[in-house]
Amino acid sequence: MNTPAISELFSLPPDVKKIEHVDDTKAKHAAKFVMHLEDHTAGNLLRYSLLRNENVKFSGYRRPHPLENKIELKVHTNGKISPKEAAKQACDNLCTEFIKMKEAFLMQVKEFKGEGK
Amino acid sequence: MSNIFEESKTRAFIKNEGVDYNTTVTTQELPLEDFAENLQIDVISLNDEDITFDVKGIDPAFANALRRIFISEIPTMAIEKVNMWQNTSVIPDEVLAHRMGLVPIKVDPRLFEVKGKNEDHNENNCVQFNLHIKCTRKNTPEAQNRENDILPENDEALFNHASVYTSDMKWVPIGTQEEKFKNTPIRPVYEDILLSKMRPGQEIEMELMCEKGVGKTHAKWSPVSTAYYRLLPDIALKEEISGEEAQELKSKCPMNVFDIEDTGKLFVKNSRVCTTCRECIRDEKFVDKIKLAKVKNHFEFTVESVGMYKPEEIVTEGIKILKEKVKCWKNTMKGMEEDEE
Repeated sequence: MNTPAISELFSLPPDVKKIEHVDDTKAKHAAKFVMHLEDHTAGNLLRYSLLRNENVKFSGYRRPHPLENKIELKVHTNGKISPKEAAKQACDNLCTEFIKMKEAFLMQVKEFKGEGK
Repeated sequence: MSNIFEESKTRAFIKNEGVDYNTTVTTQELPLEDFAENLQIDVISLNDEDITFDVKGIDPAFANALRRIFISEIPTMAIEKVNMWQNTSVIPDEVLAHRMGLVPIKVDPRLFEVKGKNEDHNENNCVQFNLHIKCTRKNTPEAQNRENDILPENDEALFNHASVYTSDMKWVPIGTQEEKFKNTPIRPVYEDILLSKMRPGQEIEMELMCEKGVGKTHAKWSPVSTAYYRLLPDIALKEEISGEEAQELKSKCPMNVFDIEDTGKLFVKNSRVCTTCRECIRDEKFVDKIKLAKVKNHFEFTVESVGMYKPEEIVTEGIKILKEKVKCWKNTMKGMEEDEE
């Protein structure tokens, strides 16, 4: 009855941005990113990636409501870099890691198949 | 004591009840070179249906993101629209339509587009099947004698098409599809899925339209039947066990993790097969003699394909999709900056 339409999983209303950037009013070098059309896959992945950065003091995410298809990611840095910069670095790192992982995986599969023959 | 502390960074300890798992996210930056060095992938087994592989050196978030993508965000083709012209079988229309939706279709989804909201079905976003089948009485004396009808096990011998299988679905090429898929005809993954049973005079006629979609909309689009990971078990003996105790422990383990040397000493033969049943540490006397642990950054993935993709393709597609997602976030964040300036 209250289930959101399936199309809401894939498309945003025209006036909504994919990622909103909200500065924290109470702390310096802290920000909140509201990411639309994302879930725990994105939230947890980014959180872990951010925490590995030594300039990040805090990072966490939450999904405010199970029927609303968005997550909030909070980032607090030590001031050497801005939260947005940290988030971008996190994305960059993940990207490189995925490429490395794919390469390694394909190599191993090839090797395994070679052994079989 | 400090030894246990050090060890708890890399291991989760299995207790009689529960697990000691200390979350340690190292706040020091893990440089990318280190990631490449630490990352280790090993294929344990691979066949047409499933793949088991080890990934060492990633964090739980990474592993879980992959698993979630395998299940719900790799696109496939599945029957979405059914035009039912005739259905006099025992299965109600809507149940049959739902049943058709769950039939896995063997076609490369990468060659198709997702159908837009206001788009019609065309050769780029749709695969069509027709199913027209009628059950009739065979022309044999046994079949003509209606008294034989009573026993359902006679159905196949007496009637034509008493069972409807996926092999009865006929692919109808749209536009240039016939040319495009000449070498890989589109068909259901399995030809022997029972769709319905019929008796003489009953008929099913329908048009089945497949569309591209992802598992988070409906599970029929999920390319995996199961996709899971677990932490690699690490089992060690803290002190030497031999003699009767060794025999006792060996027979306790249902997975045969332990074995006995010729000298009568117990040793860990194969820790991978451990299912964490805890049978070996149930008895108080063994609790302190065995170290039952899990390696925290060593994941054993098992991905079982439904049949639309090869199992190894599911993994590479999953990584590709995640990578594209991350790229999209980065670009959006870059775009945000330009907006502000």
